[in-house]
Amino acid sequence: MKVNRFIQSSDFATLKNDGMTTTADLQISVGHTFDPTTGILGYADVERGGKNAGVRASWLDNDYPTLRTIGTTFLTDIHLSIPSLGAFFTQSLYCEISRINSTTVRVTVAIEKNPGAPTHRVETAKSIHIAFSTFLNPFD
Amino acid sequence: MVDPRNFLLNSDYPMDKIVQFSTGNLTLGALSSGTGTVPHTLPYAPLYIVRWSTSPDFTTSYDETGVTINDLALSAQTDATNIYFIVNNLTASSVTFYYRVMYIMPSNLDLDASPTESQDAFIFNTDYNYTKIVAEDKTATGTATITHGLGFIPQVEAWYVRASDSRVVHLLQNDVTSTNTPRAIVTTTDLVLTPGTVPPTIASAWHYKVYGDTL
Repeated sequence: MKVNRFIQSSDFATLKNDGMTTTADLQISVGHTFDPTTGILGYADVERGGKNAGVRASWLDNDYPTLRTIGTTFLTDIHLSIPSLGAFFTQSLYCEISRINSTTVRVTVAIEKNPGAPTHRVETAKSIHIAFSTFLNPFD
Repeated sequence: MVDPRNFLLNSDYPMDKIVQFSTGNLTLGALSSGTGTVPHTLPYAPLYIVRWSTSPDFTTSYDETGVTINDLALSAQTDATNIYFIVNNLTASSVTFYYRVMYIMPSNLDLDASPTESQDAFIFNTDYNYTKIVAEDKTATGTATITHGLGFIPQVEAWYVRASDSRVVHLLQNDVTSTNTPRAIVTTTDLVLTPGTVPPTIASAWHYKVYGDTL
């Protein structure tokens, strides 16, 4: 059967969009401190979608307002300091969305781990907007 | 155009059709990385969606992840023979990665496919939305602007073809600070695809799908 000639066919499984159009705004405040051993600045949990439901997402950073990207991992940057050393620098910031259980999706914001490094501090506020939907797959 | 968002399913628009499944697992020792090669038996390099987990019941599960913030990461690529899993384990213990793969035929191909089944009792169920493809194709080059004209931010999926070895890679990670890697930017009117500049991840072409559904 020439599958691409059909709009759809009951012969083929497909994805079921079970959690639609969820948005969240991640706010990272100036002065927020975190342990670079894990690299995690914070996370937000959203109850959306069912067991093993995958995610389709878009991301927008207020520092790059014309660049809305797709995907489950988003790379941007953030201005940080190490107060104990008086050091100021810009580092890559990773935002990732994943399913942590059969009802909940987690958005994690982090830098690359630096075990043993001193406490880091956020020097410039950042706001990241995420929009996502979830999809049950034919395995479940 | 009738607003596709108003429909759970609309015969004006095609839907994704999964033409093959693959499941399995890979075990990786502590503090190591590796590649797992699994044949897919399709006569072309398929588009794919991967789910993975460290538990066989997939209660906690992930889409592909690169080596970023996690101790564990799995990403994938396909060619006309295999799917390749690139796996990293930065923990102090051996870890088993369980994977599930759904393969989709690229839209530029007109080939036969065998039926696939769903674990759900229903092929279609009005409890769910079925995303409607309003635009899909394979681009001729690694740079392309697709005008979808929907007036809202649509759902998008994109896979790029690597110039180095023609492998297909699902684009799930984008960097707004750099154009070094392949990137997809979506607006209310366009999808903008750029190829990147650093081998081997330079795109020579893209497979894309724009859905008439918001995220």
